[in-house]
Amino acid sequence: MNVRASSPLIVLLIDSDAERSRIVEAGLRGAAITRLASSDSRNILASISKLQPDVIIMDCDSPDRDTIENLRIVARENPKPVVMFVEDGDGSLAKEAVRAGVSAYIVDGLTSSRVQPVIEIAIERFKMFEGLQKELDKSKEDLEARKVIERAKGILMDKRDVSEKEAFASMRQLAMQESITIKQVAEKILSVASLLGDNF
Amino acid sequence: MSSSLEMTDIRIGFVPLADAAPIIMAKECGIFEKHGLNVTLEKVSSWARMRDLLAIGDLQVAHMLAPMVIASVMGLEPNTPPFTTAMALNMNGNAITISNALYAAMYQSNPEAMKERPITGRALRDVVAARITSGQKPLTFAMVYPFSSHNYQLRYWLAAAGLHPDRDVNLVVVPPPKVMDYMKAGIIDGYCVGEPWNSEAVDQGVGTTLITSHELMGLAPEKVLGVCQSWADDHPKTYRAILSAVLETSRWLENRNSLEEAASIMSLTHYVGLPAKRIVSALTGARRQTTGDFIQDMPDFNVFYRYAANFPWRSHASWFMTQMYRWGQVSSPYNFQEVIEQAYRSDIFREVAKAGGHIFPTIDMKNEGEKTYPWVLLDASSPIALGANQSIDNRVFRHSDPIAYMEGFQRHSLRLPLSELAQLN
Repeated sequence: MNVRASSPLIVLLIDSDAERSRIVEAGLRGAAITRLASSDSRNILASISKLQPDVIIMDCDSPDRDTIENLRIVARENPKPVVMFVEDGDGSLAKEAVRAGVSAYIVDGLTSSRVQPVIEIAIERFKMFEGLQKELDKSKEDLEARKVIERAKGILMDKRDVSEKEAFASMRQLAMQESITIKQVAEKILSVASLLGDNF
Repeated sequence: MSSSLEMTDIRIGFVPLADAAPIIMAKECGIFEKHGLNVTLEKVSSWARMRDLLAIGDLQVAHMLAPMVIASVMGLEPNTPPFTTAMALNMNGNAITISNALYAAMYQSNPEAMKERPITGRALRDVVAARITSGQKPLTFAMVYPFSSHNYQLRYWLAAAGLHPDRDVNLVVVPPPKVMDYMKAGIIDGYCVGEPWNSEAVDQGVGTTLITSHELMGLAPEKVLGVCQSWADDHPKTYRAILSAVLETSRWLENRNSLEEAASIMSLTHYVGLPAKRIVSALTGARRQTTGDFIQDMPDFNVFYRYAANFPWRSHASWFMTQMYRWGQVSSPYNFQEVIEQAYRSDIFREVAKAGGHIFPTIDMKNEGEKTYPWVLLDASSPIALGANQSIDNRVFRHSDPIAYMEGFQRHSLRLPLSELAQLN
């Protein structure tokens, strides 16, 4: 397969998430087989008819997907009909794309081997973004948990006159007894404290 | 009961629309739970996404456009195994709304035609003709998906007035939440969508509602509960439990108070996320605009249970097939009976209805568009009151001969000779 020899594929990327867009774009640029085009989200149909993309990569949660689906059926205004990417083999790539959140449409008649790398890059980049997102969520969560635990510990130390170590140990013990997280224990302490005010 | 279910953790997808009510309320009222099911609802942003998630098994059950099920059986949906349905969720619920500028143009060109009720597209035909003569670009209308009742209703209304939807105007798909913006920006001149995007346009002064789907085509089939055929075959008890729960919820929705309760729950962000009063009107048909500035209560604007609304009439499926052929969405011949028997499982509906104490038709097909007055269906477990169902052009779909019905179309985009279709039917 010699993709470089042929003219680059015009890829239209439609994604409402600007950050993910950048990540996917960077991946597709690196592949050097594509020319990227961007769409006016206000009027996707006008963009498609102006840009005449070979491939459309779309965030699968975009409601504009149904607009593209219709082009698959009626191709009167657009000389190039757009059809959804169908893999030759067992359909596993299609499934992977759905799970990763990528929807891909290609121009009818384009060989799938030419487009496959583009789809694979898109899937990989969508997954990469999801990974980053999860990491970010987790570190936010960790930070929040630390704050809650620190405050609960402070309350215990203050009200029961125990050391920091003892306060933390009693929270951990409760967490194990009730099989909940330390953060949940801390939240309970905070809500009880706010209910009882100074009498706690 | 529940211990005998093949599967209890079920994921059901819904599109945030008024007619997701039976699914959302079955969950909220604990009816799924009562039937031994642990259901998680997933909000889905497009019909294409719904199709894909159901196809790969990430969803077991889907809120679905009725024609999508039929299209999947005919192999017209990509990467998709055949779907099936044993239950409709509602009838009616759509309307055609146009820009105020187009309304004014129609009124100016033919004030007499604008007073008809239900309103036809006669005045629109005059406007389109004038545009063609003066070399202006064609008008653009939007609907929601190629395989949708909205698409076929809009095309039916245009064609009934002598307009060819593929030649005289431009038809596009626009996601319903965007139709008002598109119309304000002048990208589209009108649309056929479900609620609340018609009443919202009226309230905000963006557009004018011309006709509701019920006036255009009485008691028209709308959404269904879709599943993969293979999943239904492998999980017969689970499938029936889900159907029982949704059917029970549909019966509960028949009450006006229930509809109001449903509207307030559905207004939550994780469901439809719109003010409850908007959803109430979509569910109850209170104070609807039609024929321009006419305001009327339309109790049958959206029907969830009465008139055997949940029965998967195979004559509905067959009618959808005639429209797929009519508008060139399919070019190869199929045997109608084979497709509709796979797509619409009226046999399973009867089993579930009987067990749940619901009345049900004992026939699979009826002539559509034949009744101009309310009537009683005697071919049923117990007589069922049904409503008038005539179409705007008074054409009747006789289920025994879909080909003859199709021969009557003057406006069409047929892609195969009807004689070829007749050989298989």
